[in-house]
Amino acid sequence: MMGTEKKSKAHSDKELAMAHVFPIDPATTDKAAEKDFWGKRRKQLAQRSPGETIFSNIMQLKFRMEDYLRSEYYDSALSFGYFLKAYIFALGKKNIEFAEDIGIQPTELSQLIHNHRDPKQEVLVRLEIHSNNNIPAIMWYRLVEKHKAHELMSDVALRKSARKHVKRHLEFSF
Amino acid sequence: MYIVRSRDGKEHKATVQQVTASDLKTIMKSKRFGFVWVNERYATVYQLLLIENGGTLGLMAIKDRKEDHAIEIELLESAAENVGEEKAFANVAGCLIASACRLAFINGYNGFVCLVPKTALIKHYISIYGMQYTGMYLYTEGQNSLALIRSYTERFYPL
Repeated sequence: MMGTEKKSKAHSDKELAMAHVFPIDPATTDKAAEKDFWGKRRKQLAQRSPGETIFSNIMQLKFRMEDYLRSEYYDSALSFGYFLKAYIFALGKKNIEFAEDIGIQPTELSQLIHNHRDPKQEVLVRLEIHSNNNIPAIMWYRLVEKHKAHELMSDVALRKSARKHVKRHLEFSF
Repeated sequence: MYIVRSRDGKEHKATVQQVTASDLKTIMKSKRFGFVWVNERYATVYQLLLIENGGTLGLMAIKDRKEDHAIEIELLESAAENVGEEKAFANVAGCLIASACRLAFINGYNGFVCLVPKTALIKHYISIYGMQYTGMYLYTEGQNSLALIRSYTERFYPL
C-alpha cells in the first residue's frame, strides 16, 4: 500500500489534494508560525461581532436539531419548547422582544416554550420567516411530530381503554 | 449523504461515523490505506462508510481544539480505489471535510476547520474547497464552511 512518497509519485498534486490531508511531522513544524496562527485565532474570537455570534449560534442550533430529528433516539427534554427557547437565546433576545418579532402575545410564547400548547402552523411558518429560512417550518413541525409519535407509541393506558371499544380485530399479527 | 460513483454517475448512500481503535485495525487489514492510522496521536478518527456494503471509502483524523474553537484535520485519506483519474467514488475527501465543518458548527466554532497542508497542494485546497491560507494553516469558517456542507452533504439530512 502506498505511503506518502509513493502517492506523490503516482498522482498529480490536484488528485492528491482531492483525496488527502497528509501527515505532518510535529518535529518539523514551524512553532513560531503555529503560535502566531492560534494567537490570531483567539484574538479573532475575542473580537467577534454580534452578527457573527448569532450566525454561529443559529447554525449550531440548526445542526443540533437536524441530528436529533434524524436520530431514532427520543428525549422528552428535547421538545419544541426547548429548541424554541434555545433559538431565542441564540439570538440574544428577551422573550418579550421575540414575541414582538413574530407577532404573538408573550403569554402564548411562554406557553409554547413550556410545551403547554401546541404551535399552530401559522407560528411554525413565522419561525421559518424569522430565521430567514435557515430553520424551515418543517423542522419545527417534526419536533412536535416526534414528541407526539413517542406519546402515541408509549401510551399503555390509551391502548387499554381503546381495546374496550374495538368489537372485532384481525386474528393474525406479524 | 450521497456519494457519486465515477463510472456511471450513480448516487450511493453513505454516512460518516466515528471509528473505534479495533475497527481501525480491521480496516487496515484491507490494505486500501497507506498512512499510519493506528497511532495514539490520532484520538478521533471518522470514516466515510458506504451504507450498502459497509465499506470504508475514506478516513479522517481530527483534533477538537476546544480552547481555540477549532477542528483541526490531522490526517485524511481516501481509500486507494478512490484516488486519481480512475477513482471509484468522487468527493470522498470533500464529504469528510464537510462533515468536519458540520461538527465545527455543532461545537459552536462557527464552522472553523483547519489543516496543515503540504506546500505543493495549497493552491488546490484553496481552489477546490475555498480555504484561506495564513502561512502555515489552511482554514475555512462561516459561510464557506456552510457552502461546503451544502455542496457535499446537502442530502445527508433530508427532512
